[in-house]
Amino acid sequence: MMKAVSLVLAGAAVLSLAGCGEKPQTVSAKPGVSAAKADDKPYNNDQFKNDRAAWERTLRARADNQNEYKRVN
Amino acid sequence: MKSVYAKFAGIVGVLTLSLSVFAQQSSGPTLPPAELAKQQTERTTQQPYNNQPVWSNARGATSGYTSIPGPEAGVLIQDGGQTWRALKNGTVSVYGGWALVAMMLVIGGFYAWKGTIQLHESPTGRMVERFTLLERMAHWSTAISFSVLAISGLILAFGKNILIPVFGFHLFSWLATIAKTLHNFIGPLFIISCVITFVVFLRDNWPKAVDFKWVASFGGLLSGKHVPSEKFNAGEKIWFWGGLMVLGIVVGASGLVLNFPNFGQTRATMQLASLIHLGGSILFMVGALGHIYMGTLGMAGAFNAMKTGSVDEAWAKEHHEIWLNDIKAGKIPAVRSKTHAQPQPVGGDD
Amino acid sequence: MARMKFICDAERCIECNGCVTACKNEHDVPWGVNRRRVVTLNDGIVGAERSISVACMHCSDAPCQAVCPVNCFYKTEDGVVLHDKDLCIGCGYCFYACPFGAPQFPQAGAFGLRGKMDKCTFCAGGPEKDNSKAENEKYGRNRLAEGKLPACAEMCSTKALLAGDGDVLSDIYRERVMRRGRGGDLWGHATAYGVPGAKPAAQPAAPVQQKS
Repeated sequence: MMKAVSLVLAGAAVLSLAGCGEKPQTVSAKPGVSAAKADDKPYNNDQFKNDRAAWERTLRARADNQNEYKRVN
Repeated sequence: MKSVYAKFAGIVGVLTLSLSVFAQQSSGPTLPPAELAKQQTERTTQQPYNNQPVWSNARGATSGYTSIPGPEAGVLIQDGGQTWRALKNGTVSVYGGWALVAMMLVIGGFYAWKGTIQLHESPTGRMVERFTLLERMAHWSTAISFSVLAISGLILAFGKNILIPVFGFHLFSWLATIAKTLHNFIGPLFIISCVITFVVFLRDNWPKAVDFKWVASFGGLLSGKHVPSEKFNAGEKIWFWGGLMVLGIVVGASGLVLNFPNFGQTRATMQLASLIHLGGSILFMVGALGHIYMGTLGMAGAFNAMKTGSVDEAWAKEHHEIWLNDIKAGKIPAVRSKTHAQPQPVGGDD
Repeated sequence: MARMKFICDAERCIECNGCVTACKNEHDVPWGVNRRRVVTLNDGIVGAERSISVACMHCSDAPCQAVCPVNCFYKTEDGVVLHDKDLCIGCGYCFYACPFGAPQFPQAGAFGLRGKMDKCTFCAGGPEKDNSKAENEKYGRNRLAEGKLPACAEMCSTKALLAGDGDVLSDIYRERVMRRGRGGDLWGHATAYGVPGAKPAAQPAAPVQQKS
């Protein structure tokens, strides 16, 4: 009986080593990489001609447009 | 003894750690909502734009008003998902996954050590009826549905880490769709099979005094000494009560909660049910691995007993002596099945 | 590099549900699926009522992405969390994990038949070719590829809901906080909450906390 109990306990102790396999769970986002198929860049089209800076300028102007202190005054 | 205490302390430590994950996450409102609303009303006049009382109440699944219909649509933040994620992806998956691997290694090691345990005496050729057709059908419908559920469940739980690198995203997505559909439709069948199996085998699994002796010597598996047992030995009875009944209820009930989301269960319910289902089913699979091993590779003649329904007298004497003596003494009818008027023909294929 | 964000100013949100309507209209979101919703806390309690519009917050460490069994989520260069409906199996795990209730399913049927998950895309579509028919049918319009911001924020009448690069948003919000001064200077504040310091004109007989 003692043998069986110590066997079980030894097994449990060894199994608790599995905890060492726990990794930090922060999702490592690989920006711009789709899981399965590559996504288009939002600026890779006729309008922006793959010019990221031009796209960002357009979006920045749109975002600034949300500031009514700039719009009204 | 000292080392036993050290190990015990280690296990307690592990449990405390996993509980502390829960403790970290619980961040409910400190005051009742009505009190916080009153504070906010005062603060709006004294310190405009200070919404602290409102936001201290926002976390912890406080329900507000929304015009969007649906369960929990008025809940702004339900942060139980973080605990669920941490335990599901971390503690339960890691320990559960390694428990399955460890069980397979233990069984592999045991097989390498003992091999298939053969009968000590040569078969007599006289067959004894062990399982009726109904009993076998109950067993196999449970066994087959369990296997389907175990494999599909493992695909859904661990496939992301193990199978996606092999199959790629699209093939695995198809596999996961099939696994999910099978799992959700076979699940209720498994529960029904479990209930039938429970009813059919209940009488023979009633615990008796002799079972404690069997447990104390671990069935003579390590010592090699003969321990007489009834129709089912204590190991089989533990599997019946602990596996079929307890784990069956735990995994079955949590599975039904997850499988029928159309009763408006909250996310907290689903998170809890998911963890119970995952943990319980891993224990179920660990037990089933042992049960399957003993029923096939581990013990000669055991598989044929459940396949054909009858066993050789020598096998019965070696494994279930009390049961055989009861049959010979006429306490248990030798033939219980209605389909077979006679026991299996002499000299079966085992 | 831009980091796309939403921010909702609870001092300004008037619970008009315009963002909800704009979103539904822009993407032809099916009945029963709501990518965005407005939640009102302390509803009906004068001075304590605050509304906030909530949708997918495009988390940096997205729990939906962490628990998805088929790994169908991905993040764009701009920090937008998107998902691939061709991979989605409709298990509902993302819905259990998300603190904001963002993932939506077209059905909640027996045997876990939910259909494929749908959620706010920050008006950035999905992995299909930008503004193709397939993308439009699965994920709705891709406004980011047209150089526009999410429809919900751009049409918000009080500019409570803002969307765009986090740096720009914090500039706007900082300026707003500095300029709106105290209490009644806020646009519509007096109308919504009464004049600061004065006793509210009308007090409900019995404050109702929840309508349903």
